[in-house]
Amino acid sequence: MELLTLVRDIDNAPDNTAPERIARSRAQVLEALAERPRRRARWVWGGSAVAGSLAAAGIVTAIVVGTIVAPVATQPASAAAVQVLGDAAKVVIAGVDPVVGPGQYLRIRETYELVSLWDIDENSDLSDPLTGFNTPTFTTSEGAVHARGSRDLYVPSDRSNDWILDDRTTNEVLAVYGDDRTLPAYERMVAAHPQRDADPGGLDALPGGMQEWDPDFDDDDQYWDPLRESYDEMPRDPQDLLGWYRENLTTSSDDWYLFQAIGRFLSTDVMPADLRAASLRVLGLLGGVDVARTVDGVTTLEMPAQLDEGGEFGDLLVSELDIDTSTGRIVGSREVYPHRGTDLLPAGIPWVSWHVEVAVVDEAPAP
Amino acid sequence: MSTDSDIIRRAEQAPQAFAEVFDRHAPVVESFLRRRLGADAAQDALSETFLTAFRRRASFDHTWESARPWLLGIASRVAAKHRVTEAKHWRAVEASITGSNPTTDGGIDEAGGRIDAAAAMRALAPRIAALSIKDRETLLLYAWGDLKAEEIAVALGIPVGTVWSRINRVRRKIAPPGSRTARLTWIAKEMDDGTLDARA
Repeated sequence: MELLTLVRDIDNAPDNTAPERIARSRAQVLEALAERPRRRARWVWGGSAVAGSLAAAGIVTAIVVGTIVAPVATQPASAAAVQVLGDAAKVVIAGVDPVVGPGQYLRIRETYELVSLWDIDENSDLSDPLTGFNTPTFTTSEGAVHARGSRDLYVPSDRSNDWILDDRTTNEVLAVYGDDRTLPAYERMVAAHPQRDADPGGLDALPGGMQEWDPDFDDDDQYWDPLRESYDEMPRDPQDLLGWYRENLTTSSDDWYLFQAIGRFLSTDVMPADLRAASLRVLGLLGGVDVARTVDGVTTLEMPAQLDEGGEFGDLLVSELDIDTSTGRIVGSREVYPHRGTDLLPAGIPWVSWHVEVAVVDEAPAP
Repeated sequence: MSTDSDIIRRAEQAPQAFAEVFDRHAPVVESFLRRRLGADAAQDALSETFLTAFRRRASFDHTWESARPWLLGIASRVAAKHRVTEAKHWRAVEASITGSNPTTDGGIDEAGGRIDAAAAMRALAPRIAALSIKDRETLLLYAWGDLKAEEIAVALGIPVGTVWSRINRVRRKIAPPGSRTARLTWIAKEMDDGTLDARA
């Protein structure tokens, strides 16, 4: 038999599981494309590591729920929500931002929580502890790990200087659900891939806020605040700005997407104040936004969205943003699937959530 | 029907359009990656390939209608980043090759042929695994990716002549000891070294 024919025949048997893998990969890719406006794709090896890297990348969602999401209702934001957002915009314009003096830094501390799923059937190969965490879904998982991580970004008073990203903290396990072997499996994975799955990303200097994602590609660098180069051109009229966001966030013009994306842009707190104020008012132009609760001066806005396919995450996505009414800042966000079809972990645990604090500090750690 | 080139242009403004590129080529790319890295690693590698392709879509050469060579080139690069996984998979492939899986109802001669072929493939696996990355990716794009030399050149960003020289070199390297191809390899080596002339 001819040599190259033999090569062609090696490992050439049909694989009936390929369509399933392709479908999962498709969902991963589409989810990442949907996040595109807020990050340049940073792909890492391993499913749960994806969640970790998403956390590190400072974006909203870490899960795959399908590609089509529709608003639950088409009614506009409630009057109460519009009022909260309008008041917050006024506070921002009034100028209550912390003053960062020469040589000082604005420290943005993000604390996030996320859920990693574990599929025991995929974890039979102990030589590669990542495998059980590679392709988790609620319907196939035997365990779940709820973990918390944090990182600090130091923005210098002169933003052309180095920004410092301190992501050295290892994620902390808050709770483990399901099979008793879940935690040992998680610990094996973390031990094998600490820099990815326990998310200690190290201590880095970002020149002028520019972050390098993939050293293999020169065109991959991106400012931490990715809209920076557009700040001047972005309209300050809320209706026009809404149009700008719909056009320039490119992925989706759906309101649920804008709600999450704008919320994350605002929470990093480095936009000009007038643009932040206008963006707050944009949130009040989105359909279905309502006030969920107010606790200790923090008002939580929510936006429900219908999941078109339902499935393991149920048929409802609820996105939430927490607004500190005294500063007009977004101090938290979360993503909840109240109808998800699993009893693996309590329904009240958000799939991913963020808490953001800012403070002025005199120094930053040196990389 | 839109060409891949059309879709990639459209994806500049509407990233979700890239899903159509995925749907067209994912089965081939997945198969290529699965055969190189194994099923466990194929899914993530497939995702990484298409995300990298999306990120680098501006580099797509629109004089080509099909994105397949370009995508397989990226997939090959992704696979090359996971050498340990690939090496492990090649060992598994070698161990799994047997001649006992009849695909037809052929007789004794056919069964004997299958066993011979299996033995030959089993012997080939470690030789392929031992090739340099450049040689191996060229060979596998040719044999598994089913690309023509011109397409491999596009995939790897090398001249067509380099593709052919690599394939010829690989054929010699992986040929069984004592075969005509192997003897040619020996002769070529001797000529390169100048020793053949000296003996003559």
